Amino acid sequence: MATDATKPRPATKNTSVTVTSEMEEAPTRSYDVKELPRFQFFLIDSGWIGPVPELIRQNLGMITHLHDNDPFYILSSEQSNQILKKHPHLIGKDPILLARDLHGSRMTGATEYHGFHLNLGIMKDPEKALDVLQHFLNFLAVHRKSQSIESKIRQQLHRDGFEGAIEVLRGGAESLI
Amino acid sequence: MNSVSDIITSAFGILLLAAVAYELKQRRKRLRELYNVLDAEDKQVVADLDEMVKHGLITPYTPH
Repeated sequence: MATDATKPRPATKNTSVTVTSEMEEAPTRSYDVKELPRFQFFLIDSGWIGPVPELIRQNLGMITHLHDNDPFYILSSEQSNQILKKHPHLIGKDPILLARDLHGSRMTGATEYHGFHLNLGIMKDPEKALDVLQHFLNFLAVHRKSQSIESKIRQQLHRDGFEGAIEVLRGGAESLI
Repeated sequence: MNSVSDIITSAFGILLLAAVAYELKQRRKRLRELYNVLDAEDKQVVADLDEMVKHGLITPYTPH
């Protein structure tokens, strides 16, 4: 279903950024090739023309390489537009990378949906958008085997709690936005 | 005279704390806009995406 526009291309020199020291190191472990998928990724991209959407399209390959055990669905611009029309609260937020947590569904029953999304469309600076994407993928890789990844999102990405507040005020969160 | 300066200092202190709290709230709000766990509205989106997968309208991407 991927159109030519959504096919990944190698990143250009202009768009590469240094991976920040904020990123955590993934614990050393051996991956089981037959490990069940933890996430289902969906990319909703209605086709806005701009540096950030283009940058995401160029780096899609990295997501599939880093999370090659998880199915990754790329919606065409027509399919994305259908979703946006049906759910207008998403307009202006795409490209959206939606990660459905299959582990959460398995634990609590198939009727409940668990997961999180990254609204890259609200980013204006392509370098910061790439930084955020890398940070997000790093977070998912590090916490892939976590039982409660949603609580880690709240603690570490939303900077909840006292420590988080200190970090936000120190400017740690500002560098992500 | 002392009491006036105390009042002014306290007022500025309260103002500073309020400004810090407001800034903290705004930055956290922006972080939540950027990435968040699925809420009730998003769950409906996932249900629609599930339907698309179920009907074969979207298939897993395979890099060339």
